Amino acid sequence: MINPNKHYWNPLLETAPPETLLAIELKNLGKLIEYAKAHSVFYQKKYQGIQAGDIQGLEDVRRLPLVDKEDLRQAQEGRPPFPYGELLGVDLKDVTHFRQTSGTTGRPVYVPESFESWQWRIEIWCHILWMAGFRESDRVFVPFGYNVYVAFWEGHYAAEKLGCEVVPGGALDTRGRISKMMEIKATALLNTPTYGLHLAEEVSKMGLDPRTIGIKRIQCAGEPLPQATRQRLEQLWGAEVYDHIGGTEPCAWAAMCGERKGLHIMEPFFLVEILDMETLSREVDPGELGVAVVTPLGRHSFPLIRFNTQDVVRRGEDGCPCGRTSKRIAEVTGRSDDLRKIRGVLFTPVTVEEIVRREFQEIVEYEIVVERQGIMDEITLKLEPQEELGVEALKELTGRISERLKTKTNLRFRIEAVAPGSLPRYTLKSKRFKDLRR
Amino acid sequence: MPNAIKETQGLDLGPMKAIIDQIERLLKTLDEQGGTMPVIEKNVKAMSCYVNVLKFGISDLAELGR
Repeated sequence: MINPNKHYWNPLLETAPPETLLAIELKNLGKLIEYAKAHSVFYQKKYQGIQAGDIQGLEDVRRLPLVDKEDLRQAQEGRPPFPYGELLGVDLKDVTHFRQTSGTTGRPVYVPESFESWQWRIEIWCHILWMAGFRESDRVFVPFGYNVYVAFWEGHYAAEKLGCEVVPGGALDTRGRISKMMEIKATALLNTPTYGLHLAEEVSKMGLDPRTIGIKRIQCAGEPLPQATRQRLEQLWGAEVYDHIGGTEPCAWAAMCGERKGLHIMEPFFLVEILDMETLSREVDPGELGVAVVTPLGRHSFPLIRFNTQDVVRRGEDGCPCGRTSKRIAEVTGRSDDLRKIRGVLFTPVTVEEIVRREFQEIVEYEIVVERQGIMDEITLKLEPQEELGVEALKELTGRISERLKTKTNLRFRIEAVAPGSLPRYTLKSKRFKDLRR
Repeated sequence: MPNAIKETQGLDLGPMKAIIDQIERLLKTLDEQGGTMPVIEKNVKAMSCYVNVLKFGISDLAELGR
């Protein structure tokens, strides 16, 4: 029999009946609405006429207004107190952590955390890392300088709270990081999927096999992690690789358990709605794609109610062999703002990543470029093959991938092979998709 | 696994909630007694944040009658 006190971080919450989780979420949503209206200028304006007592069930939740990233930007632009603007939910003197979004989709959003709100975020990450098997015996290496980006700070503090030994590897180059990992006998990594691939590539160039280094588990953050990339990382490192989904604004709101099939929503810390993409008004059924609308229920410094994450996810079936009772996500398929129309066809870059990582191990790195040529859209896949690949093999590879992409996306790609090492290697957010039409 | 879960789910959370409430009260008292001493004020504030996490994880369930 598994000891639930060791298997779960908080067995009381993680195995609570779904109706209990929902009851806690609705109660805490009421509290959050009251708090936000009393402390945040943004919600004083937006929630005029809305009372916490109006929210009795999920159908009442659907009537609350959605908030998106642009709302957050507008509430900060030129509005006091600098730089957090009208969203701030605590006194400025109580802010202890400055974080900001990466600015991938526009001007960054500045996210204030009080010590209380920060500890609430760390607690969620304790759940995530515990679920991924991180324990006191782990020596966790974080091969980054984290700067103002939140996920690795959260992972660092949470790993400490779990009792792991945390070794930051910021001020080193990639080979220096590899040497450090080996020197200290690291057992776990926190990193981006892209950098996990790059590290493995560099280890191999050093004449070593990444599987012999001793890494047993990797928690990924900072980028989407398609299943094919996750499996490739597991194969390269001989380690368990875990995904989660979240963001700087709402925090990490779903993560993978030891089954490594889909993600558990971090209930009851969040009320998560997965809504149909057309109207954002109907909760989708298991198996259907929807947009995640997330309410973090325990943060006062940056209250968010019904935040449209624009993350497109497939809702999972309820129930998991791990025994956790929270709602589930089968997969993360991208972001609604990543969807592009190319020659009239809807396209998402995740499709290419899935194909490349699953079927074309000869491709080390790639980049997708969309340009307008005359009145036509042109889409190019630049691929960087393994150094040892010969001319004939490369010709065969380009033909094969061109066909696969045509079949899978309904688009004819121009395939351009580039010299090994010529495409950028990213540490944090990768930018493998470049739409130059706008 | 189901038996193990039942074992945990059968716990009476009332006494745990009472202890969490008591810690919160003690911290307030300590804060009052410490006056303006930063060593008390700042450490009490930090501890209160950890208590808040426990309230979220334990007391919320206890209040629902678990």
